[in-house]
Amino acid sequence: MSNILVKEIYKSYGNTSVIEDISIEIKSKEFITLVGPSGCGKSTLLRIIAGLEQINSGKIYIDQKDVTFVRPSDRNLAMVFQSYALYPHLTVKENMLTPLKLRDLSSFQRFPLIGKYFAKKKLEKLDILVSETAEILRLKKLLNRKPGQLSGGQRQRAALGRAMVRKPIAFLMDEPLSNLDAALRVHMRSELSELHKKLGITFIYVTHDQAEALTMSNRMAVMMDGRILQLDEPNKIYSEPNCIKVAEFIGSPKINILPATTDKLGYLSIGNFKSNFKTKIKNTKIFIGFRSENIILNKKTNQFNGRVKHIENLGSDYFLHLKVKSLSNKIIIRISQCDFTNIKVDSSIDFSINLEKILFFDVDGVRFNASYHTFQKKIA
Amino acid sequence: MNYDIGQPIKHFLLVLGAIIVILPFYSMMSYSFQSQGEIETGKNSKGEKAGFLGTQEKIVDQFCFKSNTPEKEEVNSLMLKMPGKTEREVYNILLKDVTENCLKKPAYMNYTQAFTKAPLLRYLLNGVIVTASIFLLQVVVALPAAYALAKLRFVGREFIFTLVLLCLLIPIHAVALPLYIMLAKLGLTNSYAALIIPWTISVFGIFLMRQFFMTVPDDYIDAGRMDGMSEFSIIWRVMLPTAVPALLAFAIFSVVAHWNDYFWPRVVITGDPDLFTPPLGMRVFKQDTEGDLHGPMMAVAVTIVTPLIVAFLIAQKRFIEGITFSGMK
Amino acid sequence: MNSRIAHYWFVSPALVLMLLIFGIPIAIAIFLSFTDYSLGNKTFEFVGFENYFKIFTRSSYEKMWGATLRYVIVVVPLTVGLGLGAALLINSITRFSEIYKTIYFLPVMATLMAMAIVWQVMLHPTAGSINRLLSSGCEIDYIYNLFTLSFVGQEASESWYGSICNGNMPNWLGDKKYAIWVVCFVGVWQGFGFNMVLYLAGLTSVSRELYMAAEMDGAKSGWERFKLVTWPALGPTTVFVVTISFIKAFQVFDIVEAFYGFGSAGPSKSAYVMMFAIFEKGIKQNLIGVGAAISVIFLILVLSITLIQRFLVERKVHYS
Repeated sequence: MSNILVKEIYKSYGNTSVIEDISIEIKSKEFITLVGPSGCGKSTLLRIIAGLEQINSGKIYIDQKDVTFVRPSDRNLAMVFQSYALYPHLTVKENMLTPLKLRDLSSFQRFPLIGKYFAKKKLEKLDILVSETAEILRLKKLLNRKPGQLSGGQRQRAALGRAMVRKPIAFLMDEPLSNLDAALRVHMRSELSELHKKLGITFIYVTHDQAEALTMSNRMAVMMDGRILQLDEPNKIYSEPNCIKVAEFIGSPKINILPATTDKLGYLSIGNFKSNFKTKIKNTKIFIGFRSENIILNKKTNQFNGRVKHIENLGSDYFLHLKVKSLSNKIIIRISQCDFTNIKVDSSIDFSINLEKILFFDVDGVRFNASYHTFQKKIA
Repeated sequence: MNYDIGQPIKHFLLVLGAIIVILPFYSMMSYSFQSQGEIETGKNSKGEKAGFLGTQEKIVDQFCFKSNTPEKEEVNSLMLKMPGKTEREVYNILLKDVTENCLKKPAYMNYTQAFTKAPLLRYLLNGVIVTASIFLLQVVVALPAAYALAKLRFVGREFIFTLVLLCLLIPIHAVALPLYIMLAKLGLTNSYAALIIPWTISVFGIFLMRQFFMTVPDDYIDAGRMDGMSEFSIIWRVMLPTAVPALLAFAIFSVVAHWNDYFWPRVVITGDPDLFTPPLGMRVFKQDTEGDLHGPMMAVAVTIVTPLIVAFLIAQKRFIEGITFSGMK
Repeated sequence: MNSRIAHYWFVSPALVLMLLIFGIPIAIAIFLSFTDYSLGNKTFEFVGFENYFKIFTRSSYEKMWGATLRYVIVVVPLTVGLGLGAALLINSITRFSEIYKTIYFLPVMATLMAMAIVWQVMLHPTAGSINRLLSSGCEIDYIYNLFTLSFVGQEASESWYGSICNGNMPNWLGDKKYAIWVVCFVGVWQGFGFNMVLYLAGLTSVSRELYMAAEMDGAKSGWERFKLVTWPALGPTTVFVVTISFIKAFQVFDIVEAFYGFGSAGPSKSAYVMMFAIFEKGIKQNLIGVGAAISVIFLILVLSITLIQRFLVERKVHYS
């Protein structure tokens, strides 16, 4: 049972701290994603787990064993790098053989020219391992090519192959899809998910792309400024973010955040609009958040009227950017193709917010439970 | 790199190397301050260690002494003023005077001899004239050619570029002899022209600038043309300012090579000391003094080496970049 | 000005000069190498391959080949090796790397003629500081034991250092046993800093992620990482560095002139390198045919080294 435990780690370069008190427990066979904007420390965290970066304090355990001071090559983890980091002078096959040879052959057996005659049996075994892996990744035909002769997707698979071939405890992936074009990226997402199921190995995956995190992972950790803001299943992160930062980072288009108030009876007001929606809090300034799909068109309840400033056509859906008179922020709403009739820039749109699905945040941006509805869990 | 316990060992090796590299620079400076005796024994007349600056005990400058040795007439005229003294005594008095006047600190003596025993200033001036002219002519020739090869389309462009690449392979040493013959036939040996002409074309400069111009967007040139500039003024008013970094790298490369060059001046300058460049002058200085005047010789060496070294120490980043940039092509 | 014609105006000075300074002289050199021409003579005769024949058979040219090859074979590997070594060391230290870089680069900037003369003064058999240093070591027991190898039971007085301590100071430049090697030493001293900066430039282009990948793959020692990542990545740099080191080594001249000077090429001509031979035969002795022939051989050597380099570069698969 592989189980990676990161405990209270701190990391800084000189005076700038990059990781501040991060603890995370990664379950065996889990696909966990570290997601966040660039510079949030997610890659550093991954490298710390790999052992490529040293930490100022804290502990790292793999399979209950303290590996904090164990060097990377002895942690039995494999890593796929953003640039793939394939050895450019070696063929795909040689690239995949490298980690096997470095682990399984003595330095004498790796001696150039003559060494191979003393390790024939072993080398044959390694060759079999390579071709098995190549089979899974459909790399067979590419084995004798050098990285320079491969396309981006092929290099990606070769890098995966090099990581897979020695059956590590966990895969660490550092933005492995960011160098691919959009179509291939979408395709590789499903391939990686499938591969994860097939191999049954822990995946720790770093990305800045929330779509990758949402689509592939069992759990995801949203990171900002060297901290983990929330660690949960993707759908929970989406529907129940624990702060405005997480809510804004996850989901496309960005969640709408509006200032709001409650009156002395707890009724919610947004801008000029006084709703008959009752909350648990009274006489407070708060923020509310609602996602672009949580609106109802042309309903006469809690009406807003907005002028269309910009239309984004996504094919299946349309995003409308609206300016609402009584509100200072722009609102983005999503409407499906069938609702999209004769809307142009400067058209006027009536809509209402689905108040049952709004999220409440206090002035510091922390989400709290203010609704009498039951679907919102109490945040610890 | 994370698991490096070898830092002290690495520094030890590097310091060892650095000592060997610096040793001659140290010795050169140190010798240039010391008397012959101190250079030869490492000790002063009292047997103490001489140290970097020497002990600066005054010693008699032999040249001063020789040229001021009392003459018969001086002795005679002084004898009139000092009745009762023999000629010998008067001579000795005079000699003592001269000796005292010629007592100098070794450092002062070495450097004055360096500048008086040979026209060192003239050598330095020649060095400046030659390196500056070479660089300017190289730029005047190379810049338009590089521009045309990079940005203009005309019949034969590829052919000319191939020629440039071909010439890039030929070291000037290989054609030194025929060039010498050609210059001799034209009666041009022993002239500035002989020192400069063979270097006026730097195929390397053309290549370097052409590669650089390839990276300059065509928009700049088109904008120039739209403003009604001629191709000629585009080169000097549009391309030249953009090329300053590459030009600087080339300048460093060119100046270092030609200030230090010894082979070519040795070939074409045979007798006229007025045309000696610093390295040639240094070599002749050594020859003329039979290599015995170590102090003054080291003073000459310091004088010749210092300008480039100081420039290098001031702008070492630029120098190293320039040389690497030029080196990597 | 018609711009079409302007194009040719721009290249014509360069073209004419290339012809005058490279094209015609090469033709002249090849032509004269088959003659017995001397400057000042009105006539000359074709002698066929006689000049070349002499160069490859006569004993005086044997000296030239001996000195040149010794110099090249010693100086090229050492300047390349030390350049690489220094670059690797400097690249892997955390402090003072700029200082080392500056120091190692000093000899590249300094006028070689002047510095060679400084070395000569330092290597003077009786008054030089090097021999003074050597003899001062004789009085320190452990140094004496170490260098005479007497600590492993060697007879001290029979060893090289032992004989120095008995008063036989090496005459570095005057003894043909040492002469060419001292020339080589100064060549290495002057040249390796240049290769070092080229290697340092090459090292900056090696991806950090590759080192991390090697570490993850189990390359634990620095040597394994060097073999797996650094050395292959430096391939193109090495080909280039080796090529220019070869070409520069064939051109050695200043050091020999500084040490031995006008007319002599060291004890029993032991430092009679190629450039010196061209200079002596072609210009001083006015045997232009022979000088031209050596020039042509030199040119062929340089061109073939460059061709080998091009071949090696082309053969390499261009990776991304």
